[in-house]
Amino acid sequence: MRHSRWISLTLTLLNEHYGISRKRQRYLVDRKDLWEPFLIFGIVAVLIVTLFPLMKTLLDQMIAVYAQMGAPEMVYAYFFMICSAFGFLVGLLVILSVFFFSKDLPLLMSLPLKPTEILSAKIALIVIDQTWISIVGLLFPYIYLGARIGLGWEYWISGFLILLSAQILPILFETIVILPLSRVIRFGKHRDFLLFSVSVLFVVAILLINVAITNTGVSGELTEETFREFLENPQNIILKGLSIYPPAIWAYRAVSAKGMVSLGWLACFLSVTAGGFLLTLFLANRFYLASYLELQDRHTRKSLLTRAELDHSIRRERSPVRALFIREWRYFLRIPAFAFNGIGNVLIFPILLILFGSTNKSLGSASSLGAIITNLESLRAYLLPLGTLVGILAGGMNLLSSTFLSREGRMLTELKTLPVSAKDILTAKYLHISILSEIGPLTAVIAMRILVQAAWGDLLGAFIGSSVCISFLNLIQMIVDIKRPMLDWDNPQKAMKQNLNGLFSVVLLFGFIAGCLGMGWLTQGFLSPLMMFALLVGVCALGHIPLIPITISSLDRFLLKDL
Amino acid sequence: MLEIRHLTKVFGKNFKAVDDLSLSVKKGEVFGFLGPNGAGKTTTIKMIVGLLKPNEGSISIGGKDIQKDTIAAKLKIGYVPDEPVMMEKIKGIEYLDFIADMYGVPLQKRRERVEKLTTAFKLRNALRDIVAGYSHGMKQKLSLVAALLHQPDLWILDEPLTGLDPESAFLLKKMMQNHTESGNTVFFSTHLMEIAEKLCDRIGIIHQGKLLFTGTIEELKKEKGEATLERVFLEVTGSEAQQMDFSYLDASE
Repeated sequence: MRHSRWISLTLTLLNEHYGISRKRQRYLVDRKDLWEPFLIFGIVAVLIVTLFPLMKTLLDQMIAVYAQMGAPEMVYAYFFMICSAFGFLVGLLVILSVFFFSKDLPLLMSLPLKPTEILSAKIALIVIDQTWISIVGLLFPYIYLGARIGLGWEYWISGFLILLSAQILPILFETIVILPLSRVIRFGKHRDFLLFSVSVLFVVAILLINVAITNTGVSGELTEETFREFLENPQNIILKGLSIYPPAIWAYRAVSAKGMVSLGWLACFLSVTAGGFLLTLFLANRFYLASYLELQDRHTRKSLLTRAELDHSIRRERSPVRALFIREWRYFLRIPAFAFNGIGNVLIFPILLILFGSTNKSLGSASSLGAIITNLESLRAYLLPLGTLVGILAGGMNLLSSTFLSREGRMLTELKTLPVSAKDILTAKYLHISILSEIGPLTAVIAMRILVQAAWGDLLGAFIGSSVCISFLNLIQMIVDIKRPMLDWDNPQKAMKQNLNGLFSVVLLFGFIAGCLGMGWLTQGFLSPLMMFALLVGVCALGHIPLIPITISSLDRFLLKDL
Repeated sequence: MLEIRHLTKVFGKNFKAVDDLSLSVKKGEVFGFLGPNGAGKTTTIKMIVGLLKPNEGSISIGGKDIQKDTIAAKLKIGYVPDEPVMMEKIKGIEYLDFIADMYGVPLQKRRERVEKLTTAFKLRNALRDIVAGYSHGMKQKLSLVAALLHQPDLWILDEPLTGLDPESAFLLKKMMQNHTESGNTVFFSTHLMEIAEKLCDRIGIIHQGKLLFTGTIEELKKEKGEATLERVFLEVTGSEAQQMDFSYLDASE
């Protein structure tokens, strides 16, 4: 009885989370928007086709390196570790969102369910959701490595089971930390604090991943000392890189050992996973219900707001555009999913770029990645147009313009009842997005300075050029979001992550970059780098002339539509 | 003040939520809009405030067409939705300041009105708190205060008393009467017959999208010959509630 109740709960949560019934109704019964699944499959197919050669080359190189060390299965462990690290990063926000900000909790808590049932169903949902990270990041290396080397049945069984359970330990570990912490920090009431903590963690985690990757020996240098150590015991240096995350060692042992030894390590991995799960359920019983119920306490301050305090709070009149602009910032910063995704998206590429630069500076030109810098030296003449493209790539991947209206959700009702024009709304939103987008070009030029000591003129040109182009791309993405905004969401994560417009923006950005590179390649014989730059920026600048009125009129028409 | 002409709203292919509705509400009038659930009250109100676009017909607020002269028409309205929709991640005081900016309320005026209205509705001690922590009734009160900040000529209130405590409900009713006594207009929907009976100068009854009656309560009672507005309402809307048998609910197995 209880067993079937738990299954029913988990299936309902999954149905609600992925909108399965809604999609089935829309695509199969109403036969509406059938192009959407085809578009998704199309984009995934294009991504697979384009990324396959790159991934294959990378895997071939890695397999060659590790095969020389007598440990080709290390490739599996390497990707396992990367996926686990991403699981840690993304999982933290997902856990907080599912446990403490989810709107279904008041309903679930009122049902005759044990906290452990609710929690285990929710953890199952998170794990299934997070397993997509492993599928995207680990499935291909797992199959390719096994097929290429011709590994035995132990590899296939252990590798598959570890792939499926790879996300459980990161999630459990975080849950174990978060649940007791929830008794101290009231997560539901400190979202801003959480946002900044998660952002800091994000940056720290990227640094740790960078260090871990360097330590695995893939990109690092073998010094005399490590070489001697390697000759004495090759396994030690291999496992040293994995020691940052011990389950990666068990995973490596399970996929690399033979026969019963392999199954023994697999059992070890799975037992620790199961043990972690039981510990989480124990802590859930202990902390979760009490914490959650405390979060439901609503109370107002005892003291009245004095007239002086009121005057201090209301101290100036603002124009509608300025007031809307402030609203935009507040709305963005105070919803962790928006701020985290928005700031994260404009920061992730620049951070990687700067890390890439700084790491390689320290390694010197003899390192494998240092060679890329040498190649960049030969492209110095094209620094201005290439730097502009890097700036566009860094700032264009913001997901803010492609969801600028979708992020309103039900709040669009408020916006629509206000006596403000579409132009005012658009101006406020455009300014907000533009400011955030500028982080990309800014950090891109910093990276350019660190990496290749680009001239100040080139840096300024690349900054201005990429800003103009990003603005052009932002307008296109805004028009797309006006045409098909995703307003019917209950979880802000969905407005950004499950929004097809976001997917479109990625395709648009990469298509734009690829198009520009292609054009540059074709015209390199008769166009100087400066001309290429001028052409690129000129076209984007001129593109604003038709796009701005189109965006305003589209929004104007949209605001007249039914909500 | 409010002129609605041949208003029709069709959802999907042929579901008429509002069917050729015409009515006018004069200045200084409290107009109650009555009807069972799903009758078309909220749809009508949403068209009046510009949230929905009519398929046919027009709506004029103080001579301004909501479709053609949208901003000027909206400036004349103070709208309180049935479910408070507002930014929940900001403080109550920040929300009111934002709304005042939108309607261009002068600084001194907004300070005074925020102080008076929030004191009257006992919301002043919650203004520094994030709206998300408010109860439903507090959000409803904040929504009311926000709607009244710019001294609108026409109040459009969709089920305004739902969720309000008795004191706030009393205050609102008094404010509605004061508002119309100063020559302004109130248009509100309600399920509560006694409220309609006490407050409204005129009422309109809508059922299945059609306006079945407009006039005073006395006129309605005279026409139908019933003693209470509740019974008249049930008769006009063709309700079978009076004949229903609910004994099965308490029957032992």
